[in-house]
Amino acid sequence: MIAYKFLSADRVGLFSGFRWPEPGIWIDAEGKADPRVSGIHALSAEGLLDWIDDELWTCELAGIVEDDRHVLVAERGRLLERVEAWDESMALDFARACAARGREQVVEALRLEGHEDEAQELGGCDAEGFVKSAPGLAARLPVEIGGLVLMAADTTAIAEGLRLEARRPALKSHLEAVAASGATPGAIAANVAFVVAHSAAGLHPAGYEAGVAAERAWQRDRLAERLGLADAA
Amino acid sequence: MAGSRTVAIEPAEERILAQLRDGDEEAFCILVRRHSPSMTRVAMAFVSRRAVAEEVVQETWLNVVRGLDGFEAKSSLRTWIWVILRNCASRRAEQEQRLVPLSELAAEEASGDDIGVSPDQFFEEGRWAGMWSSGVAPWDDLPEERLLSSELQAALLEALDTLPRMQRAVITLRDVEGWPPREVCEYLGVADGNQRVLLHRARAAARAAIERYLEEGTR
Amino acid sequence: MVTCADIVKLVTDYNEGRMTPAERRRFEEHVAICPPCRSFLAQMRTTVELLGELREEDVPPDMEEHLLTAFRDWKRDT
Repeated sequence: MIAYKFLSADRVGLFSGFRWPEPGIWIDAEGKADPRVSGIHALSAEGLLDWIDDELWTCELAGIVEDDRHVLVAERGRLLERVEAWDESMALDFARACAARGREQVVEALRLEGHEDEAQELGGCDAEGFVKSAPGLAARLPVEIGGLVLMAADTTAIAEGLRLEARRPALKSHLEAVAASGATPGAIAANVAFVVAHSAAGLHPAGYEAGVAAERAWQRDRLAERLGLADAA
Repeated sequence: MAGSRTVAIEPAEERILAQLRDGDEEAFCILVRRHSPSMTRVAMAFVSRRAVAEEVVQETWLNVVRGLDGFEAKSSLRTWIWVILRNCASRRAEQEQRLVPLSELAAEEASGDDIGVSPDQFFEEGRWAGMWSSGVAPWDDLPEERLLSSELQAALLEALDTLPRMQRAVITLRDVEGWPPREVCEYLGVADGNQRVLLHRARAAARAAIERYLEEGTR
Repeated sequence: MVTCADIVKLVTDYNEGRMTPAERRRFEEHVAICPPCRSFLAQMRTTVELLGELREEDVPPDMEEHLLTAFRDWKRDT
């Protein structure tokens, strides 16, 4: 059974800190505990989006104990090949594309809520311009939508490698902490995609859950397309 | 402890035991140096004052020496030494009228809301409630040499010294000595749930000490 | 929703394998998308490793002296 695996730099598993051996070498699950816990975890194409990291590998599994169509758990596994297309450049590209959608969505939301001037101003900005203008604008807007404007700016800044703009204490954001946490391009891609999907969600006409699902679906397709993967069944 | 329970004494320990019985002073010193610091930290769970704990450890070694001829190796040498420590420490605690059982001390230290990191590191309310409000940077951004330096060891030891006594005992046995959870619970007479909370808080404190040490170095 | 404070609170349960598969999944899903929590998890792991590498030699000098004397006495008497 062939599947995928995201790993942090140097073939290190994010949760275990375990460094995978070179491709071709099988490793066994620990065996003592519940195999669903100690087993080798891998991903279907559908599952990639939730587990983005620095390195993408294909892997082979044996003895599948669980498969929920996103995550597979197996008794044994080995890495096959590095998916070279997924590198720092593609990860940041992906992050930037997600962030761009975040900006579009918040501009649309501003328009819908009658904040024409702000929508106009931000709508005409490029990424850098948006990042610079957002805090000042956010301070003038109602708290809720102001926060969304800032989230769009902060995710953009993180994706583009720009400094996050200073803002009033009242508008302080967790994303400032994210930006200060030494995230790798893979980690940035994972974070930005997630935050954008969840901030866009609030603006979706069919409600929050639908909003998240819709944005994640776009992101999933975009990722698959960029990686040249066949459409998930 | 590390090592199988089906074989009481391991080859390495057999050699040490033989050396001790031969009167090998260096082997004895090595053994004393290897175990005394952790023994002292654990003794402090029983008697709380360091000076008294050191006396307990000294008395333990005297008992070990006296018992060497009669030691039948039904348990490992290490187990035997630690059991003697517990006996000496318990006796001393009784003498000093420190009669609160460790299980109770453990429950006390495990109570409350402390998650191991100060609440001011997180947003208290609003859309980001519960999320980090300050960055947490990876330590592997820093040169490897700093992570293994003797100054860092000193910082860690100091952190252990400032822990509450049951947290100190648990982290010493679990992480410094490498004992599995069940053995630590049995040895100290502490419930597993409490053991885990104590371990968590102690580890979090150790992490904070390392963080401070690394931050100070970059100024 | 899992917060960063939850991750901090639960990290030892996670490392000790004391979570249900569902709890584990939720924990990991959050860490996967949260850079500060990624760092924190790795730091806790490193902390445990470093504790395991502690090699202390410090015994109060008079203790070592006293014990050596006792050891020699025992050696002589047997």
